[in-house]
Amino acid sequence: MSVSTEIMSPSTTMEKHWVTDYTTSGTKKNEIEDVLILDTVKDEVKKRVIKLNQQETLFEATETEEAENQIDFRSIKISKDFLVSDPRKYFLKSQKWIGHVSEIKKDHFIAELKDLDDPTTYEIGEVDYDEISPEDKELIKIGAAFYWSLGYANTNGQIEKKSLIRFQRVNFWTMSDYNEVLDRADELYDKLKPED
Amino acid sequence: MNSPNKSNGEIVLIGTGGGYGESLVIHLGNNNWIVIDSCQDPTTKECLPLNYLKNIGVNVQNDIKLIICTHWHDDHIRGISKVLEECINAKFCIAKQNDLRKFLRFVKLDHKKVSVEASNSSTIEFNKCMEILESRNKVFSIASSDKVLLSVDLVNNKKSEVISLSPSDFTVVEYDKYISSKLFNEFGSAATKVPASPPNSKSVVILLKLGEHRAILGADLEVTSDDREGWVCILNDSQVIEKNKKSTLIKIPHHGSQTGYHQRIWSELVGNEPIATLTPWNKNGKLPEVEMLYKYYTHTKNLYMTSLVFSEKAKKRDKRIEKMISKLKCKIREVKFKQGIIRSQIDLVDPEAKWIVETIEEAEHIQDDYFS
Repeated sequence: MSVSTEIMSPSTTMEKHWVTDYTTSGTKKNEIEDVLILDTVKDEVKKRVIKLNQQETLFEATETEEAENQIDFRSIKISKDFLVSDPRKYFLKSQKWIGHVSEIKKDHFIAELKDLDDPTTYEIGEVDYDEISPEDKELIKIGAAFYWSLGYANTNGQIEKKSLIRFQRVNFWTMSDYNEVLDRADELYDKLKPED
Repeated sequence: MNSPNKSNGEIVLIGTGGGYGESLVIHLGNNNWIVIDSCQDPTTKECLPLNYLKNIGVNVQNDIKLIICTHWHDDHIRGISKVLEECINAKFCIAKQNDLRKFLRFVKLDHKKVSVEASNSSTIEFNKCMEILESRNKVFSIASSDKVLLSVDLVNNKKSEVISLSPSDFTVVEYDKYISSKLFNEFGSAATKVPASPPNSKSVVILLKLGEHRAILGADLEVTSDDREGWVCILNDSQVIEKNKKSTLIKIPHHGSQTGYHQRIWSELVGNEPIATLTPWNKNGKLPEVEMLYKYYTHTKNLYMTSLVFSEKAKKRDKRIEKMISKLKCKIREVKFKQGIIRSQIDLVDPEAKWIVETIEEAEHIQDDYFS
């Protein structure tokens, strides 16, 4: 009997799951996630079909036991070792900076760069305007802040070299923000009266 | 290294290679010390003037009497809140503001940008200083032209004094306008960092009277076309400079730049062959330029720099990342940290005494071979 048709009890641990048994299952390591998810979803679909068969009408099947009958993907628990690619792991190997524009030149700008992976010494970067996306170019001005990520990105299994520069969008403060700041400044002024 | 004895004055210039600031620590005599500006080791985040003082055995809690923040630039202020925090008996002195309330509002507004990393180190530090002063129920001390900030008695009716020569009244008013028009309007938005604003007319220049001797500490003050501000204003209008007692030590202003130079400084304020010290600048552009350094060298052979100007490359990284950077239309260079200390000591009560200068770590005595 093929291992893939064997019924596994709910208490089966991931180490003992047939998918991890590469030799008998014939799965390759990079197919594990896809296979596991499909395997779990298949079970849920089977349960749904059974429920529907037990009701007189679709209405009865859905309305009265709607929550129970729905396939709740949130409850599908997959071991964290087999999760699909975390968006945060988009960059396999990367370098990240936060930069502030200090000078504007004809074909490039100069910025002070803080290495987010090693925030000790800082760097000075000369960035060509060709590296900036069109919608960000209008945000380039003295003092403007940007994030720069550089590295190897995994896009659906395809490895690409990427350099992403994105300027901070202006974050307007509310009147309440301003009032809070001004009130505190005025309070300090009253207390820190300079000597005559 | 040991602390100087009570009758020796000491002026110590600490530099960081041109990107992480400078600081001065000064012994006025009788265990009275002052700290002018501050800088940090970017890796350890240690406050360098505090490190120096503790290494030579100074009781920083009791013996530091005055902390001066010469001007509001990152490279002069990093770590100054730590100095104030530990030196609990020190007064905290800033340049005069025309409208202090407005200035504090601006500091608070800029500090609010911390969460989006658009705040300056200077406002972060200054904000902390304000909080410390508030908790101690203390006030600011204010520096302006021709003002005695501190006076210390020595033996034989001698004394040491710390006197500010700037900013001028005109500069104070102009800076107030600058805060309103540029700083609030252009850089007040939440995601924009305030850049360092030239010229440095609001810098506090200090005249030190160390017993029988005099020293000029030039901060970043520059020469401008308007003689109501900068060095020309001091040369024309100062009432406290003694024409018959010139300075025998000068901390060269603004990293030895052309705009920090005026012939009259060297003919009217400073004596023959003074001790001249400076720190380099190594961010956007390099200072001092060789021509300017040579010019200073023609004024005195006792020329010292906290570290030499050097070229830099990008940080060492994973080879794949380095390769990617090299293929981009971008250039990146690291601003390296190099600490250098110039320590100058003199007998306070002997009018014939000469300065004894010591260079530590990266500091160099500039000699003929530098220019060959």
